[in-house]
Amino acid sequence: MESTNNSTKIKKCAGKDNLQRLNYLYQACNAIATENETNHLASVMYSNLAVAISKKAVQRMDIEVKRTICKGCRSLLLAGITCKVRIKKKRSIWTCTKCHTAKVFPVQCPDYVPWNLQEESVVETLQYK
Amino acid sequence: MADLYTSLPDQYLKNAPEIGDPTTYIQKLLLKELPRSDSQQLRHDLKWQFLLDKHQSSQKRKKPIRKKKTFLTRRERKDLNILKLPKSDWDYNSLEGIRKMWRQYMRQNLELAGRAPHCSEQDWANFSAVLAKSELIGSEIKVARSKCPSHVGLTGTVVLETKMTFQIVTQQSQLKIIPKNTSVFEFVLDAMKFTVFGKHIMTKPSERSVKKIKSVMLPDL
Repeated sequence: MESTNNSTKIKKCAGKDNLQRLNYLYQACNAIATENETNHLASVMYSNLAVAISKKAVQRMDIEVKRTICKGCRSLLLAGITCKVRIKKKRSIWTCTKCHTAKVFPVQCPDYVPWNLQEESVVETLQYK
Repeated sequence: MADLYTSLPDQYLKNAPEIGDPTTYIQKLLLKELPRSDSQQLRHDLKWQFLLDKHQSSQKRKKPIRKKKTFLTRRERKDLNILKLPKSDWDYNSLEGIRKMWRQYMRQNLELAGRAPHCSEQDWANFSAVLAKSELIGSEIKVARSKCPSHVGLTGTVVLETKMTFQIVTQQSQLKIIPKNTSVFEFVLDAMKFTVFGKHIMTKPSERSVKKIKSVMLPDL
């Protein structure tokens, strides 16, 4: 367990256990999402639990994770499998096939990068073994 | 309903008069039979179109896309069948990936240095707090003791945790729902065996990572 600036003392990360739990749940959700209908329902439960934990522990989910979870039924959105993607009127629309809830992203300015994905937003990287 | 569209039995059809096109026949009949005051408007009346004439109930309308209201109400979630796990179609072998992932996650989470601390050591309280806060979905669990004798000895992978129950898939690929309140669970990680009293982890799984955990809990049962 070492931080990137090679200091020997162990640096604690706030809410590390919650983040690890979220990470594990999201991976488990991905692993069984497309196996069969029953496993897909289980994966909906996991992503639902992940969203609930992040709300309760006030740990924001990363934007790329957040965008792959349906706002209605909280199932995983996989383009072509659990959601359909269409570009209409300069907007890309991700429609969940289960609950017909849509996420709408404007595609007018391709240069736009969300703040979380920009390089300036990263202050420090902690690496754990 | 199927009887509606079958033709009449032969004995009635034999005596029936020949009619050509049914619509022209009805028009002629109406002209002949109706009083003159009504028959003047007849041509106009026959042009009426009925709203539901062409729309049949079998043609379902496409579901509209929801954009504004995104959350689902409980009834909508119930209609989508995402409140409960189905009892069929489970496969124990296909959950191997999750079990492997859980072991990896648990090793990282507990920050193990080869062994668990002894109960007299300083780390003990900290260690058990971390253990109580960690995720149990994906673990291979065994019911060590229970008030219900048929639950004792059941082993399986946890697929869902709720406030009151663990739902596990046994090696026969069956879904079993086990109440926490009256059971004691065991699970094994590498060379360590953990015993968890179900009564002490009776909280919603989403709240467990935040809730304060009592340092001293009296086990009964």
